[in-house]
Amino acid sequence: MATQKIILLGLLIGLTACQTPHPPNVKVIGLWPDDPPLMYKPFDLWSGGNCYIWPVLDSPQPTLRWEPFPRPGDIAVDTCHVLAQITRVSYDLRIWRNIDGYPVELVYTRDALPSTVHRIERSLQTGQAYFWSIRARFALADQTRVTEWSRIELPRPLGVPASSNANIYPDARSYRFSIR
Amino acid sequence: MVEKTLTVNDRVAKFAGAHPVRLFSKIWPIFLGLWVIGCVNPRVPTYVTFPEPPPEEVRAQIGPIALTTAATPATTEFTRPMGKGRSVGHGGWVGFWTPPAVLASGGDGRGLILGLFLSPVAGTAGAIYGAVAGMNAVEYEQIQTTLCAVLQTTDWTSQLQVAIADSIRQLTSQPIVSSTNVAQTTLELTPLLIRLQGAFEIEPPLTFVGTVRLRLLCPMDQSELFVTEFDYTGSQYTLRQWAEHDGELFRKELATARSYLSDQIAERVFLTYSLPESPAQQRVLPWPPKK
Repeated sequence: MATQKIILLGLLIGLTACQTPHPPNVKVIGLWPDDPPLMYKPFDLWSGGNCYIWPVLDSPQPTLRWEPFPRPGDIAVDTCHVLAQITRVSYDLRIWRNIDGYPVELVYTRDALPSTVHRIERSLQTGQAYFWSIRARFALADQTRVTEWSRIELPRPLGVPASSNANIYPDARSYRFSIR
Repeated sequence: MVEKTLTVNDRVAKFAGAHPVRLFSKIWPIFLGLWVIGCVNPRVPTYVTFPEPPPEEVRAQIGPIALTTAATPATTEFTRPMGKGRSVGHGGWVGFWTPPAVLASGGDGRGLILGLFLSPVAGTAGAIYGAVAGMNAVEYEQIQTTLCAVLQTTDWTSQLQVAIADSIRQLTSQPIVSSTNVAQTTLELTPLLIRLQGAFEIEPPLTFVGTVRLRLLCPMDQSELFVTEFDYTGSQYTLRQWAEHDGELFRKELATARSYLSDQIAERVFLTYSLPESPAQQRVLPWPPKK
């Protein structure tokens, strides 16, 4: 009887391990990064995971892309049709150098970028990790307005303390990349 | 006498492996620990914590604004480090137990015995450090007076008000008026707390934290449209370092806090548009990722 139970348990563990891991549901605040993309490796028994894979880029002047604003999903829930009134959409970009897992040093700032793609205009330091964030800037009823700085909401990146649920600037939940 | 000394040395050498290099290889964590505790000021992130922006209904009521500051000064709190007497005891105690704890952590019984041999030396060193680095009441009060004087001479509250007005002009299209008589909205600023906070230790690093309350008021009846608080968390130094050169570091940090807070207040209150929760925020990310 005991042997049967052990065999059954072994089979169960084996089947669980062989199962393809579920693709994770990731939630962000603000705009999504298109390039470098956000990658989340789901957990599997053989190779681990359950964490974000931060892209390593070759160029010290990488090109960053993000999704345009407003998005169809935003318009769908905009019952007051506010987003239909917005004009002059542009984008703000910030890049910070990573020190001990925090965006400590602001190294690159651009405001009112006209498109959703931007090549960094000066070389970033190689062998360094960086945080980056974007937001949309637009005019609503002739007033300048901005969206929240983009950041990961869920699942929380490893190393970011659970206490930092609040709105923080700069935020360790911003997107990341490294330069090789 | 000489013979006795040699015997002790022999016993230490036996436990340590009879070679100075091997002895050092066993006790280096102590030096490393002391160096880390004593010398390093870790570079900590500077950031502002802020609330949700005002709802759009409130924002629609905001017209030309006048800036005012509350008459009450900010409360100051500077964490008091351990006094001299307590520091001697604490330093001696930590110093005494650190070598056996560190050297025995590898599970080596010889390390524990060697650690116990080193304990009196390390304990004495810890007590001396405590006696030197501990802070008596007189010194603490002097430092407190220096830092409070910096706050008064820099007139931080008024300067913050000016900085917020500048940030609003530079970053937003919100009109500002000088008098509350012609304003449609009053932005009232109250610095609540200036704090240097840290653990109760011999000479702990203390983090600068500044809290500011902000209220949007209707000048006609002083009714409150919106109230919120912003926190600035900044650099980390010991209390003595904060007060050095008539509080030079403290003065610099107040300026940095002013700059961070003014920009974030202007952006958060007048610029940020809070998008409603939408399906655009969520995606199922494929793994392995598509090229």
